[in-house]
Amino acid sequence: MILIFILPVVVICLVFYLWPIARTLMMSFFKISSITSPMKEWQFNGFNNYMQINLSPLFQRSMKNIILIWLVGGVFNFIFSFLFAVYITKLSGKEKRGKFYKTLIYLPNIITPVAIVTIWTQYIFNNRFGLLKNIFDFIGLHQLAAIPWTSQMYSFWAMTIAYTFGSVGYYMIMLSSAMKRIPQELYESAMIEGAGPMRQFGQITLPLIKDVHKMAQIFWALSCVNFFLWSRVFSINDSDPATLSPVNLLYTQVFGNSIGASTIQQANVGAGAAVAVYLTLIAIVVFGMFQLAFGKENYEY
Amino acid sequence: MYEMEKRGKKLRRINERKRNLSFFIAETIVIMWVSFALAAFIWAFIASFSTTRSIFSGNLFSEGLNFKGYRVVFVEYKIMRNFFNSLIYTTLACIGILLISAPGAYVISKYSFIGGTALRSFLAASTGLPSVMILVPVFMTIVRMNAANSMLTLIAVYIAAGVPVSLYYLTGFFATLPSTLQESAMIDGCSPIAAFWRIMFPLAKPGIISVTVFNFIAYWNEYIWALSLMSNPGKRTISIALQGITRAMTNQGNYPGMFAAVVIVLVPTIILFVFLSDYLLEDMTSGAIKG
Repeated sequence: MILIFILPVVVICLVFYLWPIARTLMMSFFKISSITSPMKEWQFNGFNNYMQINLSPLFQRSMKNIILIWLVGGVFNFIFSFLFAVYITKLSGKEKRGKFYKTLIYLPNIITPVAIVTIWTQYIFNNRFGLLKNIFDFIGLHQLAAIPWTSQMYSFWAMTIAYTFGSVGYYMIMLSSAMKRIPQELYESAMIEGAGPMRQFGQITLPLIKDVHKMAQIFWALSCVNFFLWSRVFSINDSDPATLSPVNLLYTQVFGNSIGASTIQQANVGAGAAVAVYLTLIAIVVFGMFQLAFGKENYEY
Repeated sequence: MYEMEKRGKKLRRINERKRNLSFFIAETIVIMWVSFALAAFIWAFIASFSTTRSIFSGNLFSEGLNFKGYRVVFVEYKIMRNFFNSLIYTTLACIGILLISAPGAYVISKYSFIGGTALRSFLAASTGLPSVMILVPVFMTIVRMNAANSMLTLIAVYIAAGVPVSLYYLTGFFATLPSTLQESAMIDGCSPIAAFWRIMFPLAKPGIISVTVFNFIAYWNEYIWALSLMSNPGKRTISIALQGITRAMTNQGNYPGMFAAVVIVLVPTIILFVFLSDYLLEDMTSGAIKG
């Protein structure tokens, strides 16, 4: 019975994970001209693929992009998701309203991001009839209203704003479900002892949800490592440098441009594999980094 | 003693005031945030019944109601075809993931066997693995086997991609169920396999529903595999089809058509969300962390 139940899982691990991982690792050391070239046409390339990527301005740009999303978007994401999580946890007696807010804030997470991107780029960011334009015009900030958000110059920040806006709901739910498990008496006694809301948050809430907070930080960092769809859909050009991410660069390296195109210009599949290896290493470093940063000890309550 | 009590009361009052103020600020931000999102969704909905000229004029109804956008998307782009594609791919993938991950999770959580711990850690690690690390070799093999653009290929890929996370979550879930039930079923003459499907699997229902809801949304919106494996327009998923339509409509300057496509994609998801919001807003996220 054990064998029958576990066999499919083992097969998936070997065929879909272990073998492809080994293969990608190997490919990263070869020059491979097309995704369909058989192994005998591969040329050993040593560390040249890695060198080529390190020197590539596009790769550097894409790395800079995801690091900025991680840092700047991360600050906004965690400020708002913590704020909303606390608000929703403390919203007792008004469950109906709380659920309505929660639903709307979380909604972007279950809708296909292609639709979300369309609403942002074609409506909200439109500087002729868009939502932002109207809001800024309404409060009299006409200069801000005129910003062409989807142009080369602003599109990276526009994408970061839109992406972060959608993510907040996910982290809000994650954090608030952890906050709900904290006993209410702790806050009551803290208030009598004279701790204000900020101190209560810093000394009760944060330490007691440490595990979930760590998880949320890891998820956010990994979502930046895997950043692809937004990068691919946000600009009119599939691989616009302004919104390029490493995964998108890899995809373009390997598959060429535009949906399902089979024509590949100057593709080097090996270099794409090297990008994948880089990203996997980054994911491992990210994981270890947060494990260390948050420490091992936990509080019981 | 009395002094301390008085001081405590005073501090409490000050902090209650502070708390109420921060609560008020938080509420204002939440309301602004929610109104912004709501305004965008409602505008997109209305714009889908408008005309490009009205949209640019700033008054969505200046030329009255217009259904041309929907006609283009339904008739010319045959979006329902892609909708049903996604429905079939996603449903079958969810069933497949469950059929493989539930028994696997059960065995891993209840029995110890050679390699069990190694398998468990490998599965945990693979949930954090960037999918690009496996994309290229798997794609190469599929192309060489001439299996691209096939429904079964995409479903198989989704199943393989979805098993580790689901299995990891369900392992935590089965661990909380008592093993005695299984044993008594076997004493009554059930085979171990039948005992699992008849007794243990139904008991794990809450966990199974959460996992399936989560998988359904994940694979309904899946992008990178659908993009690379299904280039044939008739076989594309709804996400990829929507991207194609949006691009085409932008080039043609057909804004109502573009938003009609967006609305067609949004409405079923929102309806589903309304029914499943309890699972989506509570269970999976808290469960995933505990698991």
